[in-house]
Amino acid sequence: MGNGFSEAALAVFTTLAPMGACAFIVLCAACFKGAFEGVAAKTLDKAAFLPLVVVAVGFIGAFFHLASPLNAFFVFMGVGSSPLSNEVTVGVVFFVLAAVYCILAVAGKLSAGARKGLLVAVSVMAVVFSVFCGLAYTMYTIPTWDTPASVVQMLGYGLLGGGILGLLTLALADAEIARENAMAGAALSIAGLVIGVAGFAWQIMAAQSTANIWGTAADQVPAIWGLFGALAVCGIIGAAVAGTSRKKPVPAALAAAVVVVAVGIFFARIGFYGLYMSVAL
Amino acid sequence: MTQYGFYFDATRCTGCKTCEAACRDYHNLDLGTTFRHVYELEGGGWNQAEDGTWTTDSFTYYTSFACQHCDDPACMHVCPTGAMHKDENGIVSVDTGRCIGCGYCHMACPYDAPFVDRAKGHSVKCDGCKDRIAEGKQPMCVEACSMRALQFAPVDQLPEGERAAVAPLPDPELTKPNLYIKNCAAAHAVGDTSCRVANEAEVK
Repeated sequence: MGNGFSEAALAVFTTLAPMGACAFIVLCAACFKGAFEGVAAKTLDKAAFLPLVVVAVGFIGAFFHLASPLNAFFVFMGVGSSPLSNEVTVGVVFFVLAAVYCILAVAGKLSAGARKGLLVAVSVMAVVFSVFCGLAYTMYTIPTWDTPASVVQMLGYGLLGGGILGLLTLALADAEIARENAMAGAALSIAGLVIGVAGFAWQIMAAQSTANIWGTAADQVPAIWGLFGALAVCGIIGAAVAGTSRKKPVPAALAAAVVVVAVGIFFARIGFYGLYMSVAL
Repeated sequence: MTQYGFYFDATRCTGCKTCEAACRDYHNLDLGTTFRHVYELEGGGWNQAEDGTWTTDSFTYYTSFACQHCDDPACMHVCPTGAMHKDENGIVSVDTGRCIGCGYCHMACPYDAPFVDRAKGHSVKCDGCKDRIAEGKQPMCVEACSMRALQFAPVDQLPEGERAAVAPLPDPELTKPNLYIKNCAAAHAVGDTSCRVANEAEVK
Protein backbone atom coordinates (compact mmCIF):
# COMPACT_ATOMS: atom_id res chain seq x y z
CA MET A 1 0.00 0.00 0.00
CA GLY A 2 0.81 3.28 -0.45
CA ASN A 3 3.30 5.92 -0.95
CA GLY A 4 3.16 6.67 -4.64
CA PHE A 5 6.35 8.71 -4.55
CA SER A 6 8.32 5.55 -3.78
CA GLU A 7 7.62 4.60 -7.40
CA ALA A 8 8.64 7.97 -8.84
CA ALA A 9 10.99 6.37 -11.39
CA LEU A 10 8.12 4.26 -12.72
CA ALA A 11 5.90 7.34 -12.75
CA VAL A 12 8.50 9.11 -14.93
CA PHE A 13 8.52 6.15 -17.30
CA THR A 14 4.76 5.84 -17.58
CA THR A 15 4.45 9.59 -18.05
CA LEU A 16 7.07 10.13 -20.72
CA ALA A 17 7.23 6.92 -22.74
CA PRO A 18 3.57 6.75 -23.88
CA MET A 19 3.56 10.52 -24.40
CA GLY A 20 6.60 10.38 -26.69
CA ALA A 21 5.22 7.34 -28.49
CA CYS A 22 1.81 8.84 -29.21
CA ALA A 23 3.38 12.06 -30.54
CA PHE A 24 4.14 10.06 -33.68
CA ILE A 25 0.39 9.86 -34.33
CA VAL A 26 0.39 13.62 -34.98
CA LEU A 27 3.37 13.22 -37.31
CA CYS A 28 1.48 10.46 -39.09
CA ALA A 29 -1.60 12.66 -39.49
CA ALA A 30 0.59 15.49 -40.78
CA CYS A 31 2.22 13.12 -43.24
CA PHE A 32 -1.15 12.16 -44.72
CA LYS A 33 -1.89 15.89 -45.13
CA GLY A 34 1.27 16.30 -47.19
CA ALA A 35 3.48 17.95 -44.55
CA PHE A 36 6.53 15.98 -45.64
CA GLU A 37 6.22 16.90 -49.31
CA GLY A 38 7.35 20.51 -49.00
CA VAL A 39 10.59 22.27 -48.22
CA ALA A 40 10.18 21.71 -44.48
CA ALA A 41 10.50 17.94 -44.82
CA LYS A 42 14.15 17.79 -43.78
CA THR A 43 13.56 19.97 -40.71
CA LEU A 44 10.53 17.87 -39.81
CA ASP A 45 12.58 14.69 -40.02
CA LYS A 46 15.17 16.13 -37.64
CA ALA A 47 12.44 17.31 -35.25
CA ALA A 48 10.98 13.79 -35.17
CA PHE A 49 13.88 12.80 -32.92
CA LEU A 50 12.30 14.89 -30.13
CA PRO A 51 9.51 12.43 -29.27
CA LEU A 52 11.96 9.58 -29.68
CA VAL A 53 14.23 11.20 -27.09
CA VAL A 54 11.25 11.66 -24.75
CA VAL A 55 10.53 7.93 -25.01
CA ALA A 56 14.21 7.18 -24.37
CA VAL A 57 14.24 9.39 -21.26
CA GLY A 58 11.19 7.46 -20.06
CA PHE A 59 13.01 4.17 -20.52
CA ILE A 60 16.03 5.56 -18.66
CA GLY A 61 13.67 6.44 -15.80
CA ALA A 62 12.47 2.83 -15.75
CA PHE A 63 16.08 1.68 -15.74
CA PHE A 64 16.71 3.65 -12.55
CA HIS A 65 13.86 1.75 -10.95
CA LEU A 66 15.75 -1.52 -11.30
CA ALA A 67 18.15 -2.74 -8.64
CA SER A 68 20.18 -4.65 -11.25
CA PRO A 69 19.72 -2.96 -14.61
CA LEU A 70 22.59 -4.96 -16.10
CA ASN A 71 20.38 -8.05 -16.00
CA ALA A 72 17.71 -6.26 -18.01
CA PHE A 73 18.08 -8.49 -21.06
CA PHE A 74 16.60 -11.37 -19.05
CA VAL A 75 13.32 -9.44 -19.09
CA PHE A 76 12.42 -11.05 -22.41
CA MET A 77 12.35 -14.49 -20.74
CA GLY A 78 8.90 -13.75 -19.34
CA VAL A 79 7.15 -12.73 -22.55
CA GLY A 80 3.68 -14.18 -22.59
CA SER A 81 3.50 -14.81 -18.86
CA SER A 82 4.77 -11.65 -17.15
CA PRO A 83 2.86 -8.43 -17.83
CA LEU A 84 6.08 -6.49 -17.30
CA SER A 85 7.91 -8.53 -19.93
CA ASN A 86 5.06 -7.96 -22.35
CA GLU A 87 5.15 -4.23 -21.74
CA VAL A 88 8.91 -3.94 -22.17
CA THR A 89 8.88 -6.08 -25.30
CA VAL A 90 6.15 -4.04 -26.95
CA GLY A 91 8.01 -0.87 -25.89
CA VAL A 92 11.25 -2.09 -27.42
CA VAL A 93 9.48 -3.08 -30.66
CA PHE A 94 7.93 0.38 -30.78
CA PHE A 95 11.23 2.10 -30.06
CA VAL A 96 13.14 0.15 -32.71
CA LEU A 97 10.43 0.84 -35.27
CA ALA A 98 10.36 4.56 -34.43
CA ALA A 99 14.16 4.78 -34.44
CA VAL A 100 14.31 3.06 -37.84
CA TYR A 101 11.77 5.55 -39.14
CA CYS A 102 13.72 8.55 -37.80
CA ILE A 103 17.07 7.32 -39.11
CA LEU A 104 15.78 6.38 -42.57
CA ALA A 105 13.86 9.64 -42.81
CA VAL A 106 16.88 11.78 -41.91
CA ALA A 107 19.04 9.79 -44.31
CA GLY A 108 16.53 10.52 -47.07
CA LYS A 109 15.92 6.83 -47.70
CA LEU A 110 12.14 6.88 -47.42
CA SER A 111 9.80 7.06 -50.37
CA ALA A 112 6.45 8.74 -49.78
CA GLY A 113 4.72 5.36 -49.57
CA ALA A 114 7.29 3.85 -47.24
CA ARG A 115 7.11 6.91 -44.99
CA LYS A 116 3.34 6.64 -44.71
CA GLY A 117 3.51 2.91 -44.11
CA LEU A 118 6.17 3.24 -41.43
CA LEU A 119 4.40 6.11 -39.68
CA VAL A 120 1.14 4.16 -39.61
CA ALA A 121 2.98 1.18 -38.14
CA VAL A 122 4.73 3.39 -35.56
CA SER A 123 1.42 5.05 -34.63
CA VAL A 124 -0.34 1.72 -34.18
CA MET A 125 2.54 0.47 -32.06
CA ALA A 126 2.38 3.67 -30.00
CA VAL A 127 -1.23 2.94 -29.08
CA VAL A 128 -0.46 -0.72 -28.41
CA PHE A 129 2.51 0.29 -26.23
CA SER A 130 0.33 2.67 -24.19
CA VAL A 131 -2.20 -0.10 -23.67
CA PHE A 132 0.52 -2.51 -22.55
CA CYS A 133 1.85 0.12 -20.12
CA GLY A 134 -1.54 -0.15 -18.42
CA LEU A 135 -1.78 -3.93 -18.75
CA ALA A 136 1.54 -4.23 -16.90
CA TYR A 137 -0.30 -3.42 -13.68
CA THR A 138 -3.23 -5.77 -14.03
CA MET A 139 -2.12 -8.35 -11.46
CA TYR A 140 -4.81 -10.55 -9.93
CA THR A 141 -3.52 -10.05 -6.40
CA ILE A 142 -3.78 -6.25 -6.59
CA PRO A 143 -7.50 -5.44 -6.88
CA THR A 144 -7.00 -1.67 -7.13
CA TRP A 145 -4.86 -2.09 -10.23
CA ASP A 146 -6.46 -5.20 -11.70
CA THR A 147 -9.09 -3.21 -13.56
CA PRO A 148 -9.58 -1.98 -17.13
CA ALA A 149 -9.27 1.53 -15.65
CA SER A 150 -5.49 0.97 -15.40
CA VAL A 151 -5.36 0.43 -19.15
CA VAL A 152 -7.86 3.14 -20.08
CA GLN A 153 -6.00 5.84 -18.17
CA MET A 154 -2.63 4.92 -19.66
CA LEU A 155 -4.06 5.13 -23.15
CA GLY A 156 -5.59 8.50 -22.28
CA TYR A 157 -2.34 9.88 -20.88
CA GLY A 158 -0.44 8.78 -23.97
CA LEU A 159 -2.89 10.50 -26.31
CA LEU A 160 -3.14 13.61 -24.14
CA GLY A 161 0.60 14.17 -23.89
CA GLY A 162 1.31 12.83 -27.36
CA GLY A 163 -1.08 15.22 -29.05
CA ILE A 164 0.65 18.27 -27.60
CA LEU A 165 4.18 16.90 -27.94
CA GLY A 166 3.44 16.02 -31.55
CA LEU A 167 2.27 19.56 -32.21
CA LEU A 168 5.38 20.97 -30.55
CA THR A 169 7.48 18.73 -32.79
CA LEU A 170 5.76 20.14 -35.86
CA ALA A 171 5.98 23.71 -34.58
CA LEU A 172 9.73 23.42 -33.94
CA ALA A 173 10.17 22.47 -37.60
CA ASP A 174 7.64 24.72 -39.30
CA ALA A 175 5.00 26.94 -37.73
CA GLU A 176 2.72 26.79 -40.77
CA ILE A 177 2.66 22.99 -40.83
CA ALA A 178 1.91 23.03 -37.11
CA ARG A 179 -1.00 25.40 -37.72
CA GLU A 180 -2.38 23.19 -40.49
CA ASN A 181 -2.22 20.13 -38.25
CA ALA A 182 -3.21 21.77 -34.98
CA MET A 183 -6.67 20.23 -35.24
CA ALA A 184 -5.22 16.71 -35.21
CA GLY A 185 -3.02 17.45 -32.20
CA ALA A 186 -5.80 19.21 -30.32
CA ALA A 187 -8.32 16.46 -31.08
CA LEU A 188 -5.86 13.82 -29.89
CA SER A 189 -5.17 15.76 -26.69
CA ILE A 190 -8.83 16.38 -25.92
CA ALA A 191 -9.69 12.73 -26.56
CA GLY A 192 -6.77 11.71 -24.37
CA LEU A 193 -7.82 14.11 -21.64
CA VAL A 194 -11.36 12.73 -21.58
CA ILE A 195 -10.19 9.11 -21.64
CA GLY A 196 -7.42 9.67 -19.08
CA VAL A 197 -9.56 11.61 -16.64
CA ALA A 198 -12.39 9.09 -16.97
CA GLY A 199 -10.00 6.18 -16.41
CA PHE A 200 -8.42 7.74 -13.34
CA ALA A 201 -11.80 8.75 -11.87
CA TRP A 202 -13.07 5.21 -12.47
CA GLN A 203 -10.13 3.78 -10.57
CA ILE A 204 -10.47 6.21 -7.66
CA MET A 205 -14.18 5.49 -7.34
CA ALA A 206 -13.51 1.74 -7.29
CA ALA A 207 -10.77 2.26 -4.70
CA GLN A 208 -13.29 3.78 -2.27
CA SER A 209 -14.81 0.36 -1.72
CA THR A 210 -11.70 -1.78 -2.12
CA ALA A 211 -10.44 -2.71 1.31
CA ASN A 212 -8.18 -5.11 3.14
CA ILE A 213 -7.13 -5.35 6.77
CA TRP A 214 -5.54 -1.88 6.58
CA GLY A 215 -8.67 -0.04 5.39
CA THR A 216 -9.82 1.19 2.01
CA ALA A 217 -7.35 1.93 -0.76
CA ALA A 218 -8.59 5.48 -1.23
CA ASP A 219 -7.97 6.21 2.47
CA GLN A 220 -4.27 5.49 1.92
CA VAL A 221 -3.96 8.47 -0.40
CA PRO A 222 -5.87 11.34 1.22
CA ALA A 223 -4.81 13.69 -1.58
CA ILE A 224 -6.07 11.41 -4.34
CA TRP A 225 -8.76 13.82 -5.55
CA GLY A 226 -6.20 16.64 -5.45
CA LEU A 227 -3.96 14.60 -7.74
CA PHE A 228 -6.96 13.96 -9.95
CA GLY A 229 -7.61 17.71 -10.03
CA ALA A 230 -3.98 18.38 -10.97
CA LEU A 231 -4.33 16.01 -13.93
CA ALA A 232 -7.59 17.61 -15.05
CA VAL A 233 -6.36 21.21 -14.76
CA CYS A 234 -2.99 20.52 -16.41
CA GLY A 235 -4.73 18.53 -19.14
CA ILE A 236 -7.22 21.30 -19.85
CA ILE A 237 -4.41 23.87 -20.04
CA GLY A 238 -2.49 21.65 -22.45
CA ALA A 239 -5.50 20.93 -24.64
CA ALA A 240 -6.37 24.64 -24.70
CA VAL A 241 -2.87 25.59 -25.87
CA ALA A 242 -3.12 22.88 -28.54
CA GLY A 243 -6.49 24.29 -29.60
CA THR A 244 -5.21 27.86 -29.89
CA SER A 245 -2.44 26.60 -32.18
CA ARG A 246 -5.04 26.41 -34.93
CA LYS A 247 -4.60 30.18 -35.29
CA LYS A 248 -0.97 30.76 -34.42
CA PRO A 249 1.22 28.02 -33.00
CA VAL A 250 3.84 29.36 -30.58
CA PRO A 251 6.62 26.83 -29.92
CA ALA A 252 7.41 28.30 -26.49
CA ALA A 253 3.75 28.04 -25.45
CA LEU A 254 3.52 24.49 -26.76
CA ALA A 255 6.75 23.56 -24.95
CA ALA A 256 5.33 25.00 -21.73
CA ALA A 257 2.09 23.07 -22.35
CA VAL A 258 4.05 19.85 -22.79
CA VAL A 259 5.75 20.42 -19.43
CA VAL A 260 2.45 21.30 -17.72
CA VAL A 261 0.72 18.22 -19.11
CA ALA A 262 3.67 16.00 -18.19
CA VAL A 263 3.50 17.33 -14.61
CA GLY A 264 -0.25 16.64 -14.50
CA ILE A 265 0.18 13.09 -15.78
CA PHE A 266 3.10 12.55 -13.38
CA PHE A 267 0.91 13.50 -10.42
CA ALA A 268 -1.82 11.18 -11.66
CA ARG A 269 0.71 8.38 -11.90
CA ILE A 270 1.88 9.08 -8.34
CA GLY A 271 -1.77 8.75 -7.31
CA PHE A 272 -2.04 5.50 -9.24
CA TYR A 273 0.96 3.97 -7.46
CA GLY A 274 -0.35 5.26 -4.15
CA LEU A 275 -3.56 3.30 -4.72
CA TYR A 276 -1.61 0.06 -4.72
CA MET A 277 -3.39 -2.36 -2.43
CA SER A 278 -2.77 -6.05 -2.19
CA VAL A 279 -5.70 -8.42 -1.79
CA ALA A 280 -4.45 -9.05 1.73
CA LEU A 281 -1.33 -7.57 3.24
CA MET B 1 9.16 -32.78 -6.86
CA THR B 2 8.93 -32.80 -3.09
CA GLN B 3 6.91 -29.90 -1.77
CA TYR B 4 8.05 -28.54 1.55
CA GLY B 5 5.76 -26.38 3.65
CA PHE B 6 5.26 -24.81 7.05
CA TYR B 7 2.89 -25.84 9.81
CA PHE B 8 1.84 -23.28 12.41
CA ASP B 9 0.05 -24.19 15.62
CA ALA B 10 -1.78 -21.02 16.65
CA THR B 11 -2.92 -22.65 19.89
CA ARG B 12 0.70 -22.65 21.03
CA CYS B 13 1.97 -19.31 19.72
CA THR B 14 2.43 -16.60 22.36
CA GLY B 15 3.46 -13.92 19.87
CA CYS B 16 6.98 -13.69 21.29
CA LYS B 17 8.48 -13.15 17.82
CA THR B 18 11.57 -15.22 18.54
CA CYS B 19 11.03 -16.88 15.14
CA GLU B 20 11.22 -13.48 13.47
CA ALA B 21 14.30 -12.40 15.42
CA ALA B 22 16.14 -15.67 14.81
CA CYS B 23 15.41 -15.48 11.09
CA ARG B 24 16.59 -11.89 10.90
CA ASP B 25 19.75 -12.74 12.81
CA TYR B 26 20.56 -15.85 10.77
CA HIS B 27 20.03 -14.10 7.44
CA ASN B 28 21.80 -10.95 8.64
CA LEU B 29 18.83 -8.71 7.84
CA ASP B 30 18.46 -5.09 8.87
CA LEU B 31 16.14 -4.28 11.74
CA GLY B 32 13.58 -2.83 9.35
CA THR B 33 13.34 -5.95 7.21
CA THR B 34 12.22 -9.47 7.85
CA PHE B 35 11.44 -12.69 6.03
CA ARG B 36 9.01 -13.81 8.75
CA HIS B 37 6.09 -11.82 10.07
CA VAL B 38 4.17 -12.23 13.29
CA TYR B 39 0.83 -10.46 13.15
CA GLU B 40 -1.04 -9.67 16.35
CA LEU B 41 -4.78 -9.62 15.67
CA GLU B 42 -7.23 -8.27 18.17
CA GLY B 43 -10.78 -7.08 18.35
CA GLY B 44 -14.07 -7.22 20.20
CA GLY B 45 -14.98 -5.16 23.24
CA TRP B 46 -17.22 -4.88 26.27
CA ASN B 47 -21.01 -4.95 26.09
CA GLN B 48 -23.41 -3.93 28.83
CA ALA B 49 -26.58 -5.97 29.24
CA GLU B 50 -29.96 -4.55 30.33
CA ASP B 51 -29.37 -5.75 33.89
CA GLY B 52 -26.19 -3.68 34.03
CA THR B 53 -23.77 -6.58 33.85
CA TRP B 54 -20.84 -6.51 31.44
CA THR B 55 -19.58 -9.19 29.10
CA THR B 56 -16.69 -9.18 26.72
CA ASP B 57 -16.08 -10.72 23.33
CA SER B 58 -12.57 -9.34 23.06
CA PHE B 59 -9.96 -11.60 21.51
CA THR B 60 -6.31 -11.74 20.53
CA TYR B 61 -4.47 -14.22 18.40
CA TYR B 62 -1.18 -14.43 16.54
CA THR B 63 -0.25 -15.54 13.06
CA SER B 64 3.34 -16.29 12.16
CA PHE B 65 4.19 -16.72 8.52
CA ALA B 66 6.96 -16.26 5.98
CA CYS B 67 6.95 -17.10 2.27
CA GLN B 68 4.36 -19.84 1.82
CA HIS B 69 6.21 -21.43 -1.13
CA CYS B 70 2.83 -21.53 -2.84
CA ASP B 71 1.82 -24.14 -5.40
CA ASP B 72 0.74 -21.27 -7.65
CA PRO B 73 2.93 -18.34 -6.60
CA ALA B 74 1.84 -14.87 -7.74
CA CYS B 75 5.47 -13.71 -7.57
CA MET B 76 6.49 -16.30 -10.15
CA HIS B 77 3.62 -15.37 -12.46
CA VAL B 78 4.70 -11.75 -12.73
CA CYS B 79 8.48 -12.17 -12.60
CA PRO B 80 9.73 -10.92 -15.97
CA THR B 81 13.04 -12.78 -15.95
CA GLY B 82 12.15 -16.16 -14.52
CA ALA B 83 14.46 -15.39 -11.59
CA MET B 84 11.67 -16.33 -9.21
CA HIS B 85 11.33 -20.07 -9.49
CA LYS B 86 10.53 -23.21 -7.54
CA ASP B 87 13.42 -25.52 -6.75
CA GLU B 88 13.38 -29.30 -6.42
CA ASN B 89 11.97 -29.01 -2.87
CA GLY B 90 9.13 -26.75 -3.98
CA ILE B 91 10.86 -23.79 -2.37
CA VAL B 92 10.25 -20.50 -4.18
CA SER B 93 13.75 -19.15 -4.71
CA VAL B 94 15.44 -16.21 -6.40
CA ASP B 95 18.02 -16.75 -9.13
CA THR B 96 20.15 -13.78 -8.11
CA GLY B 97 22.13 -13.79 -11.35
CA ARG B 98 18.97 -13.21 -13.31
CA CYS B 99 16.88 -10.95 -11.03
CA ILE B 100 16.67 -7.32 -12.15
CA GLY B 101 15.21 -6.06 -8.88
CA CYS B 102 12.08 -4.63 -10.46
CA GLY B 103 9.98 -5.33 -7.36
CA TYR B 104 7.07 -6.91 -9.22
CA CYS B 105 7.29 -9.99 -7.00
CA HIS B 106 6.97 -7.76 -3.95
CA MET B 107 3.95 -6.01 -5.42
CA ALA B 108 2.22 -9.21 -6.47
CA CYS B 109 2.77 -11.35 -3.38
CA PRO B 110 -0.32 -11.13 -1.14
CA TYR B 111 1.79 -12.32 1.81
CA ASP B 112 4.31 -9.47 1.54
CA ALA B 113 7.08 -12.06 1.35
CA PRO B 114 9.72 -11.03 -1.20
CA PHE B 115 11.24 -7.57 -1.31
CA VAL B 116 14.06 -5.91 -3.22
CA ASP B 117 17.33 -5.40 -1.40
CA ARG B 118 18.82 -2.61 -3.49
CA ALA B 119 22.23 -3.02 -1.86
CA LYS B 120 22.33 -6.63 -3.00
CA GLY B 121 20.70 -5.77 -6.32
CA HIS B 122 18.01 -8.42 -6.27
CA SER B 123 14.91 -9.69 -4.53
CA VAL B 124 15.35 -11.48 -1.24
CA LYS B 125 12.96 -13.77 0.62
CA CYS B 126 12.61 -16.82 2.82
CA ASP B 127 14.34 -19.77 1.18
CA GLY B 128 13.30 -22.26 3.83
CA CYS B 129 16.88 -22.10 5.14
CA LYS B 130 17.74 -24.51 2.34
CA ASP B 131 21.37 -24.85 3.38
CA ARG B 132 20.27 -26.00 6.81
CA ILE B 133 17.69 -28.34 5.28
CA ALA B 134 20.41 -29.86 3.12
CA GLU B 135 22.34 -30.56 6.34
CA GLY B 136 19.30 -32.27 7.83
CA LYS B 137 18.53 -29.36 10.14
CA GLN B 138 15.36 -27.30 10.56
CA PRO B 139 14.92 -23.68 9.44
CA MET B 140 16.05 -21.16 12.06
CA CYS B 141 12.52 -19.95 12.81
CA VAL B 142 11.34 -23.51 13.52
CA GLU B 143 14.31 -24.32 15.71
CA ALA B 144 14.06 -21.04 17.62
CA CYS B 145 10.37 -21.36 18.51
CA SER B 146 10.30 -22.09 22.22
CA MET B 147 6.64 -23.19 22.06
CA ARG B 148 7.26 -25.60 19.18
CA ALA B 149 4.48 -23.86 17.28
CA LEU B 150 6.28 -24.10 13.92
CA GLN B 151 7.20 -27.08 11.80
CA PHE B 152 8.75 -27.42 8.37
CA ALA B 153 8.68 -30.63 6.33
CA PRO B 154 7.38 -32.13 3.10
CA VAL B 155 3.69 -31.21 3.18
CA ASP B 156 2.54 -34.85 3.26
CA GLN B 157 4.46 -35.27 6.53
CA LEU B 158 3.05 -32.19 8.26
CA PRO B 159 0.32 -32.50 10.92
CA GLU B 160 -3.22 -31.84 9.74
CA GLY B 161 -4.20 -28.21 9.55
CA GLU B 162 -6.23 -25.78 7.53
CA ARG B 163 -4.49 -24.35 4.50
CA ALA B 164 -3.52 -20.79 5.59
CA ALA B 165 -7.16 -20.09 6.39
CA VAL B 166 -7.08 -17.25 8.88
CA ALA B 167 -7.38 -13.47 8.80
CA PRO B 168 -5.48 -11.39 7.78
CA LEU B 169 -4.14 -13.83 5.20
CA PRO B 170 -5.73 -13.89 1.74
CA ASP B 171 -8.02 -16.59 0.41
CA PRO B 172 -5.73 -19.63 0.08
CA GLU B 173 -7.38 -20.53 -3.23
CA LEU B 174 -5.58 -17.56 -4.74
CA THR B 175 -2.04 -18.93 -4.65
CA LYS B 176 -2.41 -22.29 -2.85
CA PRO B 177 0.08 -21.57 -0.06
CA ASN B 178 1.99 -24.38 1.62
CA LEU B 179 1.23 -23.17 5.11
CA TYR B 180 -1.01 -25.34 7.27
CA ILE B 181 -2.49 -23.86 10.40
CA LYS B 182 -4.03 -25.30 13.52
CA ASN B 183 -6.25 -22.38 14.40
CA CYS B 184 -6.97 -21.23 17.93
CA ALA B 185 -10.48 -20.49 19.18
CA ALA B 186 -10.07 -16.75 18.66
CA ALA B 187 -9.07 -17.06 15.00
CA HIS B 188 -11.14 -15.14 12.47
CA ALA B 189 -11.86 -16.37 9.00
CA VAL B 190 -10.05 -15.28 5.86
CA GLY B 191 -11.45 -12.02 4.56
CA ASP B 192 -12.68 -10.88 7.97
CA THR B 193 -11.67 -7.26 8.44
CA SER B 194 -13.36 -6.77 11.80
CA CYS B 195 -10.16 -7.60 13.63
CA ARG B 196 -7.35 -5.09 13.96
CA VAL B 197 -3.62 -5.52 13.49
CA ALA B 198 -2.31 -4.48 16.89
CA ASN B 199 1.34 -4.31 15.83
CA GLU B 200 0.77 -2.34 12.64
CA ALA B 201 3.86 -0.17 13.09
CA GLU B 202 5.93 -3.33 13.38
CA VAL B 203 4.70 -5.24 10.36
CA LYS B 204 3.66 -2.61 7.85
